[in-house]
Amino acid sequence: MIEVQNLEKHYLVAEKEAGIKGSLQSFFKRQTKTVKAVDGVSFQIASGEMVGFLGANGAGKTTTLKMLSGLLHPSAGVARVAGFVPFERRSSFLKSITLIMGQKQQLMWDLPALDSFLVNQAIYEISDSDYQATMREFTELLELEGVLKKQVRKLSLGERMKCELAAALLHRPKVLFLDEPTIGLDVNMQVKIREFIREYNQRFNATVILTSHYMADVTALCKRIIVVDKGKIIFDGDFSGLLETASPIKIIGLQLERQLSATDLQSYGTLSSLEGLNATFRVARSEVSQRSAKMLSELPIADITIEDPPIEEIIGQLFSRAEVRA
Amino acid sequence: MIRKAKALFTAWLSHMTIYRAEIIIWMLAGMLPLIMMTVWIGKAQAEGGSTGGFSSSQFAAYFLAAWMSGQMTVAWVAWDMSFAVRQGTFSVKLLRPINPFWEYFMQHVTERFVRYPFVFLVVVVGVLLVPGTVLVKQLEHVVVYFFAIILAFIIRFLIAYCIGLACFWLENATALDELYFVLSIMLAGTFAPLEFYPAWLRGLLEYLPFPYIIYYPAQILTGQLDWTQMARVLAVQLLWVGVFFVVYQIMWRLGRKQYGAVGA
Amino acid sequence: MKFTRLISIFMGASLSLQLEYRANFVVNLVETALRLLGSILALSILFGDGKAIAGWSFPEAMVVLGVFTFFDGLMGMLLFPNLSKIAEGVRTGTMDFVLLKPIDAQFLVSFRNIDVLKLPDVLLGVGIIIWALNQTGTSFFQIILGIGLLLLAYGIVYSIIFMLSTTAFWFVRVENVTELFWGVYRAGQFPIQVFPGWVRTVFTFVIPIAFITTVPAQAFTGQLENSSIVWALGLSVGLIALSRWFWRFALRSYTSASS
Repeated sequence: MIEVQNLEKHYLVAEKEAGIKGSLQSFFKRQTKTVKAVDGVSFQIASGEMVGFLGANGAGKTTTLKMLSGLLHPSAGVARVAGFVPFERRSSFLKSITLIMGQKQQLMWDLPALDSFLVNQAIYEISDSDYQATMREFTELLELEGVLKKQVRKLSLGERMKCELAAALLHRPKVLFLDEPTIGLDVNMQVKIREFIREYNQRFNATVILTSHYMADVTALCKRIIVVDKGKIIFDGDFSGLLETASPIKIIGLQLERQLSATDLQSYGTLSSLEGLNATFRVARSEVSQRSAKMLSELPIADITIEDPPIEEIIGQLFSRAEVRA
Repeated sequence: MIRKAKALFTAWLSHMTIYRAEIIIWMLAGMLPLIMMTVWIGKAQAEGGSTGGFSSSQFAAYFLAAWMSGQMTVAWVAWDMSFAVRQGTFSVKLLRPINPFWEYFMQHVTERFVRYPFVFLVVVVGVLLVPGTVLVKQLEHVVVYFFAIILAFIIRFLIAYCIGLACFWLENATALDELYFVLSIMLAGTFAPLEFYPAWLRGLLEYLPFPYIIYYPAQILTGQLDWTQMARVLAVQLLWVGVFFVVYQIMWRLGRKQYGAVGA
Repeated sequence: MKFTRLISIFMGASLSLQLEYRANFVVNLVETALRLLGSILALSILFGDGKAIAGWSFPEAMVVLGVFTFFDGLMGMLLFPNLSKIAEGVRTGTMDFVLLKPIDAQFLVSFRNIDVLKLPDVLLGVGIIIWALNQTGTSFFQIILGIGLLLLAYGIVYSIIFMLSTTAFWFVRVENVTELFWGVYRAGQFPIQVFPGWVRTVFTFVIPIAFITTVPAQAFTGQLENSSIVWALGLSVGLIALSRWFWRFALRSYTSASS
């Protein structure tokens, strides 16, 4: 569905020293340098797949999405989405994709959302029956009853986001690019949007690429993860693979029956915290079974948990390792 | 296509009716021709009823027609585009299977329908205030004016759109639009009927689009031109539409590759 | 002085911001030159037949144009960059920060930014005044009187625009109101006597444009009546006082934007 080969995007940026002196200098003689926002990215995504795009701010996620949706002209490389070259902006291409960027307004601010929907219906040439059917479905899934006839500017942030989503998906695109779809929303609303995206993916077998700051979005929706850093892909694979390559450790949590001192516990692994009766260890992945068996037999344990480190930490480690390599 | 246009028209119409107060204010803000009208009428009165062959009522007819033409050809698309590009909302427009050009075009066309009644009202008041003013002598002139003003609007819109496209290369295209505005005030015939301009400038203006946006439509409406002259004006207007359409096409092709889709 | 130091800090910061956009700088310079050319064209067309209009000769009318250009630039340089931000502050709630600062809030909202792009306009205005006065002749006393009346006129301009901008506390879209003032101000490029009767009355007493451009120009060329000085003084002081009262009154209606 999506094929990307050696995609690159370069920008020319101006640089200046702080203060008036620097301003004057750059007024007469501007220093510029080329930044490679995306630097040779390649991947393939099959129809119906949901892929999480992770990376720090400025890693090149959004730029990649913009090239895939035809907004930006790639500096080098090839991208094909649903059989089209995105930048050509063929009508049939635009009708089969959507790009959702946070709160970017599709909707006309001073009119009820329904008016914007009607405009989209005409622009995307959606037949009346399809329009009715889709609206019925979305109204139910997103609980839009009563929201559609209010002026957009009078809606709450969450209601507005739901309408943005509905407007962006009204033409039932086969490919969804979601750039921070839940940014700024409360947890409850995040969950609802997430459920809606999953439901949409299943009903229409849509391909989804998702970037998000909220790890929960990604872990809940995507089996496959692509991690980018400084314009390059540093990991591409499924979640479990990410854990194995990126995180050679697991975390063993113990609930003890009686108080023990740190020195009592040190011999069982790297003790990372000890608070009252709760102790946690960081243990190499290969040694987990052996160590935990030893703990169970030798220590007064009420309960034991073996977990992967939090995903944020894993990604962080991945970045710092990429740093070392570079 | 017709369906798309209709949907855009309906939506923009409801949008524009909400902003009618602003439209009236913007309309009045562009009242330089009306100020000039009073200045010239003052001069004509001081000189015993007419100056340079124009009487008070002739000045009134010319400036009211010129003001109306200016109002009917207003285009703010350069400003809108510049803003949309900086805010990143232009991306949203690019994602739709319709060229943003048509969306902006429809927006402007629709606005005319909301603006015109107020413009008409001001013109009627103007005609009544200056005794003896005859704005339209023959009904045919209104028909020709209708076509002339549509072409004038298309020329102005295309110019503004090209200026707007310039923000793919420049940081901010609004300054350029401002520049155009200043030039047009000077050269389109807002200060005075072009008859009063120095001869060398008058000759030069024939080769520029400005008089074809305000001066000539006003002349047509007030019945100052004969049929061959009117035909010539319409032909030159068509030529300008062609020229700027080509410029627009070229800029659009090149500019899109340049587009940075800034601001996330 | 605390105020002067603050002004220089603010202006330094906004200067370096604007130097970032050098294309704008050039474009604006061209624009100013064109605008001026346009105004001169308008005047020369109007005076094309060599006759004086309403007692004004061409060079005398040029003094009015000079004053007009000077204030046009001054408003663009000092007033609009600041006062247009009032509306923004009210809409986004950043006015909170202004009100929390231990300085007179009206001072702070009035002198925070400077648009150096408009400096050439101001200088050009001064240039035209000097050029035109060279043609008409003037005296030292007239120049002093003229500068005094320019100061009073600035007070009038400031108060009007400030009060218009302050309506932002009630109306969200206030930029349009100032736009309207701009439109009317354009009438100020001509001597007030050029206009027919009732228009003149409006521009003298309802929207006092006469006191902004015509009256200082009359002072420079020595045509000023004493009563005009009294009127200008009263109007300027009165409007400034009114603007201070209006600001305090408006603050009562400030509802800090919540989201």
